[in-house]
Amino acid sequence: MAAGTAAARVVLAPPDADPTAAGDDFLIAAAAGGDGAAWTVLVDRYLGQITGHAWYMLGDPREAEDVAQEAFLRLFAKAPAWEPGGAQLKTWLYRVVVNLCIDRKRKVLPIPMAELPERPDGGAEARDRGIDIKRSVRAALDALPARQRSALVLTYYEGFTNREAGRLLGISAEAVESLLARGRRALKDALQSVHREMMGERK
Amino acid sequence: MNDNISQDNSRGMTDAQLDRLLDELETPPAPSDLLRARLHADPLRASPRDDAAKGGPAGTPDATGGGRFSERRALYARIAATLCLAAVVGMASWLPAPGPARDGAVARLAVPVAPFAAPAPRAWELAGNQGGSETLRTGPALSLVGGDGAAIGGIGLVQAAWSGGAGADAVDGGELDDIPLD
Repeated sequence: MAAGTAAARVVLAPPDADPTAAGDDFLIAAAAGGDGAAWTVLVDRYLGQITGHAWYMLGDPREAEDVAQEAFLRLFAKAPAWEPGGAQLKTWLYRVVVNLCIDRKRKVLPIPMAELPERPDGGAEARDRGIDIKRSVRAALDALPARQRSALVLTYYEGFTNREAGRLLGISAEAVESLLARGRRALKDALQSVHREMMGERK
Repeated sequence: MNDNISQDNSRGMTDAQLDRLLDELETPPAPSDLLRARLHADPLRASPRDDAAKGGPAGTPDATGGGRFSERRALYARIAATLCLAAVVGMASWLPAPGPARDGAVARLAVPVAPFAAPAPRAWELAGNQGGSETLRTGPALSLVGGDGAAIGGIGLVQAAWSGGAGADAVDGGELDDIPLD
Protein backbone atom coordinates (compact mmCIF):
# COMPACT_ATOMS: atom_id res chain seq x y z
CA MET A 1 0.00 0.00 0.00
CA ALA A 2 1.38 3.35 -0.96
CA ALA A 3 2.18 5.38 2.07
CA GLY A 4 -0.01 8.40 2.53
CA THR A 5 -2.67 7.27 0.07
CA ALA A 6 -5.78 7.22 2.16
CA ALA A 7 -7.96 5.66 -0.49
CA ALA A 8 -5.59 2.76 -1.22
CA ARG A 9 -6.92 -0.53 0.09
CA VAL A 10 -5.41 -3.94 0.54
CA VAL A 11 -7.26 -6.51 -1.53
CA LEU A 12 -7.50 -9.76 0.39
CA ALA A 13 -9.55 -11.79 -2.03
CA PRO A 14 -10.42 -11.64 -5.69
CA PRO A 15 -13.48 -9.54 -6.39
CA ASP A 16 -15.47 -12.45 -7.76
CA ALA A 17 -14.89 -14.67 -4.74
CA ASP A 18 -17.87 -16.14 -2.89
CA PRO A 19 -18.51 -13.51 -0.21
CA THR A 20 -19.70 -16.07 2.33
CA ALA A 21 -16.28 -17.71 2.20
CA ALA A 22 -14.35 -14.46 2.38
CA GLY A 23 -12.45 -13.35 5.42
CA ASP A 24 -13.77 -10.64 7.70
CA ASP A 25 -11.12 -8.13 6.69
CA PHE A 26 -11.97 -8.50 3.03
CA LEU A 27 -15.70 -8.20 3.71
CA ILE A 28 -15.22 -5.08 5.80
CA ALA A 29 -13.14 -3.47 3.07
CA ALA A 30 -15.73 -4.43 0.50
CA ALA A 31 -18.60 -3.11 2.62
CA ALA A 32 -16.72 0.13 3.16
CA GLY A 33 -16.42 0.37 -0.60
CA GLY A 34 -20.16 0.06 -1.01
CA ASP A 35 -20.59 -3.70 -1.43
CA GLY A 36 -23.97 -4.45 0.14
CA ALA A 37 -23.56 -8.22 -0.26
CA ALA A 38 -20.36 -8.17 1.77
CA TRP A 39 -22.12 -6.23 4.49
CA THR A 40 -24.97 -8.75 4.51
CA VAL A 41 -22.52 -11.61 4.99
CA LEU A 42 -20.94 -9.83 7.95
CA VAL A 43 -24.32 -9.26 9.54
CA ASP A 44 -25.33 -12.88 9.08
CA ARG A 45 -22.01 -14.10 10.41
CA TYR A 46 -22.11 -12.28 13.74
CA LEU A 47 -25.59 -10.96 14.47
CA GLY A 48 -26.76 -14.10 16.27
CA GLN A 49 -23.71 -14.33 18.49
CA ILE A 50 -23.62 -10.76 19.63
CA THR A 51 -27.38 -10.53 20.10
CA GLY A 52 -27.18 -13.65 22.23
CA HIS A 53 -24.47 -12.18 24.38
CA ALA A 54 -26.41 -8.96 24.82
CA TRP A 55 -29.46 -10.99 25.83
CA TYR A 56 -27.53 -12.85 28.49
CA MET A 57 -26.23 -9.55 29.78
CA LEU A 58 -29.44 -7.53 29.64
CA GLY A 59 -32.20 -10.10 29.87
CA ASP A 60 -34.41 -8.27 27.43
CA PRO A 61 -34.56 -9.33 23.78
CA ARG A 62 -35.44 -5.84 22.60
CA GLU A 63 -32.61 -4.24 24.52
CA ALA A 64 -30.31 -6.92 23.18
CA GLU A 65 -31.33 -6.13 19.62
CA ASP A 66 -30.76 -2.44 20.24
CA VAL A 67 -27.26 -3.19 21.45
CA ALA A 68 -26.56 -5.48 18.50
CA GLN A 69 -27.78 -2.83 16.11
CA GLU A 70 -25.60 -0.23 17.79
CA ALA A 71 -22.59 -2.53 17.51
CA PHE A 72 -23.14 -3.00 13.79
CA LEU A 73 -23.67 0.72 13.39
CA ARG A 74 -20.26 1.28 14.94
CA LEU A 75 -18.76 -1.32 12.67
CA PHE A 76 -20.38 0.45 9.74
CA ALA A 77 -18.76 3.69 10.84
CA LYS A 78 -15.44 2.03 11.53
CA ALA A 79 -15.31 0.07 8.28
CA PRO A 80 -13.57 2.71 6.13
CA ALA A 81 -10.75 2.95 8.66
CA TRP A 82 -10.57 -0.77 9.48
CA GLU A 83 -7.02 -2.05 9.33
CA PRO A 84 -6.69 -5.53 7.87
CA GLY A 85 -4.66 -7.85 10.04
CA GLY A 86 -5.38 -5.84 13.14
CA ALA A 87 -8.04 -6.72 15.66
CA GLN A 88 -10.21 -9.74 14.92
CA LEU A 89 -13.69 -8.65 14.00
CA LYS A 90 -15.35 -11.08 16.40
CA THR A 91 -13.23 -9.82 19.27
CA TRP A 92 -13.92 -6.23 18.29
CA LEU A 93 -17.66 -6.76 18.06
CA TYR A 94 -17.84 -8.60 21.37
CA ARG A 95 -15.83 -5.90 23.02
CA VAL A 96 -18.21 -3.25 21.75
CA VAL A 97 -21.21 -5.26 22.91
CA VAL A 98 -19.69 -5.97 26.31
CA ASN A 99 -19.05 -2.28 26.84
CA LEU A 100 -22.45 -1.23 25.56
CA CYS A 101 -24.13 -3.70 27.90
CA ILE A 102 -22.05 -2.59 30.86
CA ASP A 103 -22.90 1.02 30.08
CA ARG A 104 -26.59 0.21 29.88
CA LYS A 105 -26.50 -1.74 33.10
CA ARG A 106 -24.74 1.10 34.88
CA LYS A 107 -27.69 3.31 34.11
CA VAL A 108 -30.01 0.90 35.90
CA LEU A 109 -29.69 0.54 39.64
CA PRO A 110 -28.74 -3.02 40.52
CA ILE A 111 -31.10 -5.03 42.65
CA PRO A 112 -29.50 -5.79 46.01
CA MET A 113 -29.05 -9.50 46.47
CA ALA A 114 -30.94 -9.36 49.75
CA GLU A 115 -34.01 -8.05 47.95
CA LEU A 116 -34.22 -10.84 45.44
CA PRO A 117 -37.56 -12.60 45.71
CA GLU A 118 -37.51 -16.03 47.26
CA ARG A 119 -39.88 -17.15 44.58
CA PRO A 120 -40.59 -14.45 42.00
CA ASP A 121 -44.19 -15.37 41.41
CA GLY A 122 -44.79 -17.73 44.27
CA GLY A 123 -46.69 -20.10 42.01
CA ALA A 124 -47.22 -23.51 43.51
CA GLU A 125 -48.09 -25.34 40.32
CA ALA A 126 -45.42 -27.68 39.10
CA ARG A 127 -45.59 -26.30 35.59
CA ASP A 128 -44.79 -22.85 36.93
CA ARG A 129 -41.84 -24.09 38.91
CA GLY A 130 -39.51 -24.24 35.94
CA ILE A 131 -40.42 -20.71 35.00
CA ASP A 132 -39.80 -19.55 38.54
CA ILE A 133 -36.38 -21.16 38.57
CA LYS A 134 -35.55 -19.48 35.28
CA ARG A 135 -36.66 -16.15 36.68
CA SER A 136 -34.67 -16.64 39.84
CA VAL A 137 -31.55 -17.46 37.87
CA ARG A 138 -32.19 -14.50 35.62
CA ALA A 139 -32.69 -12.20 38.61
CA ALA A 140 -29.57 -13.50 40.30
CA LEU A 141 -27.55 -12.93 37.14
CA ASP A 142 -28.97 -9.45 36.76
CA ALA A 143 -28.03 -8.62 40.34
CA LEU A 144 -24.37 -9.40 39.71
CA PRO A 145 -22.03 -6.49 39.06
CA ALA A 146 -21.75 -6.03 35.30
CA ARG A 147 -18.19 -7.28 34.95
CA GLN A 148 -18.83 -10.38 37.03
CA ARG A 149 -21.88 -11.10 34.93
CA SER A 150 -19.99 -10.48 31.74
CA ALA A 151 -17.16 -12.80 32.75
CA LEU A 152 -19.63 -15.50 33.72
CA VAL A 153 -21.69 -15.20 30.55
CA LEU A 154 -18.62 -15.26 28.33
CA THR A 155 -17.04 -18.29 29.96
CA TYR A 156 -20.03 -20.33 31.11
CA TYR A 157 -22.67 -19.72 28.49
CA GLU A 158 -20.56 -18.84 25.47
CA GLY A 159 -17.59 -21.09 25.98
CA PHE A 160 -14.79 -18.54 25.90
CA THR A 161 -11.65 -19.39 27.81
CA ASN A 162 -10.59 -17.14 30.65
CA ARG A 163 -7.86 -15.74 28.45
CA GLU A 164 -10.29 -14.97 25.62
CA ALA A 165 -12.79 -13.46 28.01
CA GLY A 166 -10.01 -11.37 29.50
CA ARG A 167 -9.13 -10.05 26.07
CA LEU A 168 -12.74 -9.06 25.49
CA LEU A 169 -13.01 -7.39 28.87
CA GLY A 170 -9.61 -5.79 28.70
CA ILE A 171 -8.30 -7.60 31.77
CA SER A 172 -6.00 -10.51 32.51
CA ALA A 173 -7.07 -14.13 32.68
CA GLU A 174 -6.34 -14.05 36.42
CA ALA A 175 -8.67 -11.10 36.84
CA VAL A 176 -11.35 -13.05 34.98
CA GLU A 177 -10.80 -15.95 37.35
CA SER A 178 -11.28 -13.62 40.27
CA LEU A 179 -14.47 -12.16 38.78
CA LEU A 180 -15.79 -15.65 38.19
CA ALA A 181 -15.06 -16.77 41.74
CA ARG A 182 -16.84 -13.78 43.22
CA GLY A 183 -19.69 -14.03 40.79
CA ARG A 184 -20.28 -17.70 41.44
CA ARG A 185 -20.14 -17.16 45.19
CA ALA A 186 -22.74 -14.40 44.91
CA LEU A 187 -24.93 -16.59 42.72
CA LYS A 188 -24.76 -19.44 45.21
CA ASP A 189 -25.88 -17.11 47.97
CA ALA A 190 -28.66 -15.64 45.87
CA LEU A 191 -29.94 -18.98 44.61
CA GLN A 192 -29.76 -20.78 47.95
CA SER A 193 -33.50 -20.77 48.44
CA VAL A 194 -34.15 -22.03 44.93
CA HIS A 195 -31.64 -24.77 45.48
CA ARG A 196 -33.23 -25.73 48.80
CA GLU A 197 -36.58 -25.90 47.12
CA MET A 198 -35.29 -28.14 44.38
CA MET A 199 -33.68 -30.40 46.95
CA GLY A 200 -36.92 -30.47 48.94
CA GLU A 201 -38.91 -31.52 45.90
CA ARG A 202 -36.65 -34.45 45.30
CA LYS A 203 -37.06 -35.78 48.84
CA MET B 1 -34.78 -34.70 59.86
CA ASN B 2 -35.69 -31.19 58.79
CA ASP B 3 -32.88 -29.84 60.89
CA ASN B 4 -30.48 -32.14 59.14
CA ILE B 5 -31.65 -30.96 55.72
CA SER B 6 -31.34 -27.38 56.84
CA GLN B 7 -27.84 -27.95 58.06
CA ASP B 8 -26.86 -29.63 54.81
CA ASN B 9 -28.25 -26.81 52.77
CA SER B 10 -26.66 -24.13 54.88
CA ARG B 11 -23.27 -25.37 53.78
CA GLY B 12 -24.06 -23.95 50.36
CA MET B 13 -24.25 -25.61 47.03
CA THR B 14 -21.50 -27.19 45.07
CA ASP B 15 -20.24 -25.87 41.77
CA ALA B 16 -22.05 -28.67 39.98
CA GLN B 17 -25.31 -27.75 41.68
CA LEU B 18 -24.85 -24.12 40.69
CA ASP B 19 -24.11 -25.18 37.14
CA ARG B 20 -27.34 -27.14 37.11
CA LEU B 21 -29.26 -24.05 38.14
CA LEU B 22 -27.47 -21.90 35.58
CA ASP B 23 -28.40 -24.41 32.92
CA GLU B 24 -32.04 -23.73 33.71
CA LEU B 25 -31.75 -20.37 32.03
CA GLU B 26 -33.23 -20.57 28.58
CA THR B 27 -31.09 -20.14 25.52
CA PRO B 28 -31.06 -16.67 23.99
CA PRO B 29 -33.69 -15.96 21.38
CA ALA B 30 -32.52 -15.63 17.80
CA PRO B 31 -32.41 -12.09 16.49
CA SER B 32 -35.66 -11.12 14.88
CA ASP B 33 -36.05 -11.30 11.14
CA LEU B 34 -36.99 -7.65 11.21
CA LEU B 35 -33.69 -6.64 12.74
CA ARG B 36 -31.77 -8.86 10.36
CA ALA B 37 -33.59 -7.45 7.37
CA ARG B 38 -33.09 -3.96 8.66
CA LEU B 39 -29.37 -4.41 9.13
CA HIS B 40 -29.08 -6.02 5.74
CA ALA B 41 -30.74 -3.04 4.17
CA ASP B 42 -29.29 -0.24 6.22
CA PRO B 43 -27.91 -0.37 9.75
CA LEU B 44 -28.84 3.22 10.28
CA ARG B 45 -32.53 2.58 10.04
CA ALA B 46 -34.92 2.08 12.92
CA SER B 47 -35.19 -0.99 15.08
CA PRO B 48 -38.33 -3.13 14.79
CA ARG B 49 -39.52 -1.70 18.07
CA ASP B 50 -39.57 1.76 16.57
CA ASP B 51 -41.42 0.52 13.53
CA ALA B 52 -44.04 -0.97 15.78
CA ALA B 53 -44.25 2.27 17.69
CA LYS B 54 -44.77 4.10 14.45
CA GLY B 55 -47.50 1.66 13.55
CA GLY B 56 -45.89 0.78 10.27
CA PRO B 57 -44.24 -2.27 8.81
CA ALA B 58 -40.54 -2.92 9.04
CA GLY B 59 -38.51 -0.32 7.29
CA THR B 60 -41.22 2.28 7.29
CA PRO B 61 -39.34 5.50 6.86
CA ASP B 62 -40.17 8.30 9.17
CA ALA B 63 -40.52 11.90 8.16
CA THR B 64 -36.78 12.23 7.69
CA GLY B 65 -36.64 9.27 5.37
CA GLY B 66 -34.56 7.33 7.86
CA GLY B 67 -35.31 5.40 10.96
CA ARG B 68 -34.46 5.47 14.61
CA PHE B 69 -31.14 7.21 14.32
CA SER B 70 -32.16 9.77 11.77
CA GLU B 71 -35.39 10.18 13.69
CA ARG B 72 -33.40 10.97 16.80
CA ARG B 73 -31.18 13.38 14.95
CA ALA B 74 -34.15 15.01 13.34
CA LEU B 75 -35.61 15.46 16.81
CA TYR B 76 -32.38 17.06 17.99
CA ALA B 77 -32.41 19.27 14.92
CA ARG B 78 -35.97 20.33 15.65
CA ILE B 79 -35.10 21.07 19.27
CA ALA B 80 -31.99 22.99 18.24
CA ALA B 81 -33.91 24.91 15.59
CA THR B 82 -36.66 25.71 18.08
CA LEU B 83 -34.14 26.90 20.64
CA CYS B 84 -32.36 29.01 18.04
CA LEU B 85 -35.65 30.46 16.91
CA ALA B 86 -36.65 31.16 20.49
CA ALA B 87 -33.29 32.80 21.09
CA VAL B 88 -33.68 34.94 18.01
CA VAL B 89 -37.23 35.88 18.89
CA GLY B 90 -36.20 36.56 22.47
CA MET B 91 -33.34 38.73 21.40
CA ALA B 92 -35.54 40.51 18.89
CA SER B 93 -37.91 41.47 21.65
CA TRP B 94 -35.14 42.87 23.82
CA LEU B 95 -32.83 44.40 21.27
CA PRO B 96 -33.64 47.34 19.04
CA ALA B 97 -32.72 45.37 15.94
CA PRO B 98 -32.25 41.68 15.19
CA GLY B 99 -28.73 40.63 15.93
CA PRO B 100 -26.68 37.51 15.50
CA ALA B 101 -27.47 34.39 17.44
CA ARG B 102 -25.29 33.83 20.47
CA ASP B 103 -21.96 32.22 19.85
CA GLY B 104 -21.92 28.51 20.27
CA ALA B 105 -25.50 27.98 19.11
CA VAL B 106 -25.54 24.86 17.01
CA ALA B 107 -28.09 23.61 14.56
CA ARG B 108 -27.68 20.09 13.36
CA LEU B 109 -29.28 18.58 10.31
CA ALA B 110 -29.62 15.04 9.21
CA VAL B 111 -29.93 14.29 5.54
CA PRO B 112 -30.67 10.68 4.73
CA VAL B 113 -28.66 9.15 1.96
CA ALA B 114 -29.57 5.74 0.62
CA PRO B 115 -27.05 3.10 1.61
CA PHE B 116 -24.45 2.32 -0.95
CA ALA B 117 -25.96 4.97 -3.17
CA ALA B 118 -24.26 5.71 -6.42
CA PRO B 119 -23.20 8.20 -7.39
CA ALA B 120 -22.13 9.44 -4.01
CA PRO B 121 -22.94 13.03 -3.17
CA ARG B 122 -20.04 15.09 -4.36
CA ALA B 123 -20.65 18.41 -2.79
CA TRP B 124 -23.19 20.31 -0.82
CA GLU B 125 -23.48 23.67 0.73
CA LEU B 126 -25.45 25.33 3.41
CA ALA B 127 -28.06 27.68 2.13
CA GLY B 128 -28.74 30.84 3.99
CA ASN B 129 -25.53 30.72 5.93
CA GLN B 130 -24.63 34.27 6.67
CA GLY B 131 -21.60 35.14 8.64
CA GLY B 132 -21.44 31.98 10.68
CA SER B 133 -18.43 29.73 10.77
CA GLU B 134 -19.48 26.88 8.58
CA THR B 135 -18.45 23.34 9.21
CA LEU B 136 -19.43 20.24 7.38
CA ARG B 137 -19.17 16.96 9.20
CA THR B 138 -19.54 13.44 8.09
CA GLY B 139 -22.20 11.23 9.49
CA PRO B 140 -21.17 8.04 11.23
CA ALA B 141 -20.79 6.16 8.01
CA LEU B 142 -19.67 8.66 5.46
CA SER B 143 -16.12 9.24 4.38
CA LEU B 144 -14.88 12.59 3.24
CA VAL B 145 -11.55 13.56 1.84
CA GLY B 146 -9.97 16.94 2.04
CA GLY B 147 -11.60 19.98 3.47
CA ASP B 148 -13.87 20.72 0.57
CA GLY B 149 -16.55 18.21 1.49
CA ALA B 150 -16.09 16.03 -1.57
CA ALA B 151 -17.40 12.64 -0.67
CA ILE B 152 -15.76 9.38 -1.58
CA GLY B 153 -18.54 7.30 -0.09
CA GLY B 154 -22.24 7.89 0.07
CA ILE B 155 -23.32 5.64 2.87
CA GLY B 156 -25.52 6.69 5.70
CA LEU B 157 -26.19 10.13 7.00
CA VAL B 158 -24.75 13.41 6.02
CA GLN B 159 -24.73 15.84 8.86
CA ALA B 160 -24.26 19.50 8.39
CA ALA B 161 -23.72 21.72 11.35
CA TRP B 162 -22.80 25.29 11.86
CA SER B 163 -22.27 27.32 14.94
CA GLY B 164 -22.36 30.86 16.09
CA GLY B 165 -22.81 34.13 14.35
CA ALA B 166 -25.87 33.26 12.34
CA GLY B 167 -29.27 34.80 12.64
CA ALA B 168 -32.75 33.96 11.47
CA ASP B 169 -31.47 32.96 8.08
CA ALA B 170 -29.47 30.18 9.63
CA VAL B 171 -32.58 28.81 11.23
CA ASP B 172 -34.22 28.86 7.85
CA GLY B 173 -31.12 27.17 6.54
CA GLY B 174 -31.92 24.34 8.87
CA GLU B 175 -34.58 23.08 6.56
CA LEU B 176 -33.48 19.92 4.85
CA ASP B 177 -34.48 21.24 1.46
CA ASP B 178 -31.93 23.97 1.77
CA ILE B 179 -29.04 21.58 1.64
CA PRO B 180 -28.65 20.48 -1.94
CA LEU B 181 -27.00 17.15 -2.58
CA ASP B 182 -25.79 16.59 -6.07
